[in-house]
Amino acid sequence: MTSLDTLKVLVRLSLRSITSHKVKSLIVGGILAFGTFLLVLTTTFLNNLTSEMEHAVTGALIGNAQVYSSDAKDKLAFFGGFGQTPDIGRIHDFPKVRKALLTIPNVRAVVPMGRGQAAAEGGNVLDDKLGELRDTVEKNDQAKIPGLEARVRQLAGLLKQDYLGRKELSSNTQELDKDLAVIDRAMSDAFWADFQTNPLNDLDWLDENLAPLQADSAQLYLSYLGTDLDAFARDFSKFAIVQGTMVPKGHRGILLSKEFYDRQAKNLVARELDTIRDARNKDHKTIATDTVLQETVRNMQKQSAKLVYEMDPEQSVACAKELRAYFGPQAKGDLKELLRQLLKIDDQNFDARDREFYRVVAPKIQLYSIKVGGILTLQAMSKSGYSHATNIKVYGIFHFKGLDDSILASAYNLVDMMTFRDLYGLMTPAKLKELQALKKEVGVKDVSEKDAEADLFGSGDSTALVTTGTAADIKDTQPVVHAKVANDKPFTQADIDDGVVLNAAILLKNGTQLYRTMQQITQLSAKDHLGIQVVDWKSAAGMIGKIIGALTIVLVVSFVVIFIVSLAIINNSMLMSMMDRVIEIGTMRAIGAQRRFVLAMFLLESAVLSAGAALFGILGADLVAHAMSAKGWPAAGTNMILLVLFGGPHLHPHVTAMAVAVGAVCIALVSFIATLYPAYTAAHVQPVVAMQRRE
Amino acid sequence: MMPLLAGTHLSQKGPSMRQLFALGLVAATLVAVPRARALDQATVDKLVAQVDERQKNFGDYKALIYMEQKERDKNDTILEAYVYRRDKSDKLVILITKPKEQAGQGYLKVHKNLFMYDPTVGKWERRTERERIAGTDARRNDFDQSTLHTDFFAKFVANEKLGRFDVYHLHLSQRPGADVPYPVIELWLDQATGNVLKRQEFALSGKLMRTTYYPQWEKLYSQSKGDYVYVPDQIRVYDEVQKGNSTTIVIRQVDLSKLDDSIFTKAFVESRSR
Repeated sequence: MTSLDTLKVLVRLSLRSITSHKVKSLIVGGILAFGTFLLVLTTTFLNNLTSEMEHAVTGALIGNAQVYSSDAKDKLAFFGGFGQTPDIGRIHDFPKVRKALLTIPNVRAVVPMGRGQAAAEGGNVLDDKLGELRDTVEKNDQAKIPGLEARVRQLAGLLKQDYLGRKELSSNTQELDKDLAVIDRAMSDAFWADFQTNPLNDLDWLDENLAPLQADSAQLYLSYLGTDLDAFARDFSKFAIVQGTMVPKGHRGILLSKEFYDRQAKNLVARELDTIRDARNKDHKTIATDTVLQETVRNMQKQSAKLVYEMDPEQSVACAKELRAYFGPQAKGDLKELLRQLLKIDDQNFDARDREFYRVVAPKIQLYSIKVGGILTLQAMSKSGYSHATNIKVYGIFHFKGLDDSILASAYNLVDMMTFRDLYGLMTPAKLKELQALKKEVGVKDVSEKDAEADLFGSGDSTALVTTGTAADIKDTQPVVHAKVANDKPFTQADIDDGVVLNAAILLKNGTQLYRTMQQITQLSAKDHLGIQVVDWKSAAGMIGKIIGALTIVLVVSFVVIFIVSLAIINNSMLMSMMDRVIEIGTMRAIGAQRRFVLAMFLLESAVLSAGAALFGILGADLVAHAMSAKGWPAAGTNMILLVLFGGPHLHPHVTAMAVAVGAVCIALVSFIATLYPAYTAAHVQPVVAMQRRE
Repeated sequence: MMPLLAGTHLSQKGPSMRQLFALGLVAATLVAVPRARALDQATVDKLVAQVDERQKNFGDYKALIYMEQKERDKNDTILEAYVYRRDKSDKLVILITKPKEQAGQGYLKVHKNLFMYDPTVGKWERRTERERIAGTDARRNDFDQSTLHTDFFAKFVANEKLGRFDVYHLHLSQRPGADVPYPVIELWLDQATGNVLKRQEFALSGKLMRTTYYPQWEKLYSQSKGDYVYVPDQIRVYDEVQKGNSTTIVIRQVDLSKLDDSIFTKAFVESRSR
């Protein structure tokens, strides 16, 4: 008998066994098919998530990899860190690093970067208007003064209404009367007549007395990414300007992310309306059933007074007229009341009120606290320990294509490298020398808190605690010389490259070669003493990258569990099947079948079964993935992290060759291991024992 | 039980001459050392009022100060500044002159308003009472006139030792409506001179926020006051929230002559750095 003949017999016997033991075959086949289905589907999801996220992260902010100082104290992480920017040191010679990295054939671009956090100026409407009036007075711009004066008087009038309302509710009116006296003075003709002759004194008085009576507005905090803006725009495929323009080459400027602009800089009422709209449309919530939305509606109504403050006298009149026309005969009360009525929102009137707000109110208020084309003052704590501030022009608003609402879209605003360096404030040798000289001049002894009482009060008597001196005659007429920031001076590409760079994005020609390229970068750094380390996009993404890692672990654990359970069930089923076939096997053995033949018969039977089951499982997974892909699996409405994982608002999964391979190999392995013991037992059945059993 | 004083057990037969002598000695010591007793409320109030009074100058005050901020894992921050004060009208100006990186930044306090100016952006911003002056642990009230008596209720806690010195330990709690950075203060006053040697400030929750030491005071004769004005030579502030952070303020020179009215305006601060 040839090997082929033997194989034919074995196949026939396997098929016969499968068909004759239908229940067993169905159980084992079902388990294998379901296992394959799960393995293929989950691997498909993981592969798709990884590839979509890679596409999003590499095209939007981080690149395929990042390099940073090999001496860094912390790990580079764009996300996570709970508000703390990790201390990653700085790349010591960026031009040299970039030149070296660009010699690696797969490196397409190296984009310099640095990150930080800053506060943008706050202040209430009165503070803003008084600031404008001060500038106008200092510039002696007589044409603008009357308009601003009228606006300040109008704001004082609105404040008066508020304070009179408070007085009606308060039992202690003494303080309120003092405040009302301040407001009355600020509204009086006598005060503004005096303003003509003593404007700066009167402005100080308004700053000190009137402005504090209005509640402060919240300060804005923003994270920024300093970069070579032109290179960033060129090399990150998902970057696009949606409003305004790109910062002109060689100029300082900031580009705000659309997400930040809409979520932080937008008027609070408009923001609340956007939130409700998104919750209704994307998350399918209703105001009637959602307590958070109900609270949002209540908060929104409380903002009606603030909306009134934002309108100048003419706009207030126009707004009230339009709202009265909108409400018709039911319209009651002043503008504040009409706005409150407009913002009394429920599920039925939401769309109409939302439309009306944007038609009537929004054009009359400052919809965004930061204007495109305007100047933004940023203040940050610098690396040298001092607070640094800078004025920077807002050129435009950007987004990452397909990633609106995602955590990537809102995480960072973009500034030029020169502004980044101003805010970063590196401690230079010259600065250090200046500080050391000052310290030496004063000669202060360092005393730790632990030793303070012993060092400061451990010797001498009380007479030493007080000395008698003479008052000095301090000459302080010298002008104070401060380090000027050359905000208007254009800069060159050499200026961008030659300075503080904390990290750099590496963009590759072929992303599949990432790990090989990373290896080359590490080798190059060691050879050329570049002093850098390289991390892949997952690691650089920090918290987001870890999600993929966590999902992989969950998946592997699930695989192992499926593996073990399937193994136990299949093993048991095969063993029972073998026991049923002891006589048959004994007979075969008695007529000359070798142990090897029996072993092969069982293993082949298992292989045929698992191949069939795997086919069904793969087909099932493909059908499910196909169905999901056709419609797209939504990223749970407004979930910022899922939007990154899905690489956009929907995931369109497709079965990958890798998923099929993983499913098929795993199932074949499970099936093989589960069959080994029953097959071995069957191969060792003695014909005599089988005969005895028959008897 | 431990005897109150060694060798003062009274026998059943009545006190011996030696025991009577010992008792008399103890009584005499207690009478002769009134400092060791608890202070009555009037004395406590008088002491706190004296702290304010001594530092008050009825005219103006100008000082050249040096500040050094230490923060763990960071470079030391060093500043030189002028402080201008007019206690009569509750006004204060702090103008930073060194280093160049910070020079020209200024604070103006008028009544309850605190404004900060940055010449690099040419703008004023309203700041809160808890503003960390130029990012240090120093607060506005470290440079301003002392108003402990008007802002706080004080009560006696104990007689204690601070290093070699006998001190009164007082507890101060915020009076209603007082605008202060911290609502509770523990104060240690030198019993011999009545000067503040140590001060601890607490948040409303009871959390200790800062510990401040005043190791030396200087008294300067003021013409306008017709008396001495007490000025701390050094103030050492230890941050109790960010442990390891501290600020040292050295008052290098003090000038008590009259200041121009224009100093306490925004225009002055702006003009000094132009």
